[in-house]
Amino acid sequence: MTNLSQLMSVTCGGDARVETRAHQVMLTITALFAALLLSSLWGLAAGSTSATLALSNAYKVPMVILLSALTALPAGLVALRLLASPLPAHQLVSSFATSIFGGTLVLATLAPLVAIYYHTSSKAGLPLALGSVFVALATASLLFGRAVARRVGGQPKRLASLFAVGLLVVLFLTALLQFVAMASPIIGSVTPFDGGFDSVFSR
Amino acid sequence: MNPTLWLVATSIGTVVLVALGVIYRRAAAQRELEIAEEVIEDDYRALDQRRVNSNK
Repeated sequence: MTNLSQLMSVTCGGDARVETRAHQVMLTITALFAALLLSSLWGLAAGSTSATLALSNAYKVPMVILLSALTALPAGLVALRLLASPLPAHQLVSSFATSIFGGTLVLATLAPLVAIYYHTSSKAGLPLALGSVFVALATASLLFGRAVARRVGGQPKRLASLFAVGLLVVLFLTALLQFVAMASPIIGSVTPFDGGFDSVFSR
Repeated sequence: MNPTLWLVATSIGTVVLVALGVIYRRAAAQRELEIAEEVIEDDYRALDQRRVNSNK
């Protein structure tokens, strides 16, 4: 419980006391596990048209997020080292995990709305479900940028750290697109994202 | 798309989750030790302070 309140403070940009490396590792892993749990809630809501889809979404959505993060992370860490950024690797990983937590928190808060509209509106259901994902992605990216900018503020070569953040976000989105296609169907209706890169950029 | 690829990817994801669980438990044990050390150090410091005060 203490960990979760500290996690919220860190995510909101507050000054939580993270004293040692062990403490930071605990917070990072708590952020990731909490994020996966929250995304699972959104998965249940988005797939609530059928019990099978909802249950499969409960593990598919967290897995898509985890795998996208795992795919993007090595490139971000390599970029950080090659650009001789002042930001330590563990702080980049920690900021990345807390920003994923922030994004999935948005997803989970919008999940009831997604579920209600999906069952009651044929026009707004799908746009709302997709819109909630875009809002969550934007929130997570902003939180990530803010967390890293705060940690490297006033240091030389801070642009290198922000470049690593940008690269990590772009690679995360690129991987997400393909993992969503691999895990489809996640939403009950057909979307351009079901076919991955090829169907999104088909023209 | 490709169910085999999805199966492989989720297996990797599951292994990573298990590994993270193990790392978390180790970090939690390490943190417990650190907290215990801090408490012991504080106790010693308080004891020393009491001795200094009684010698005065």
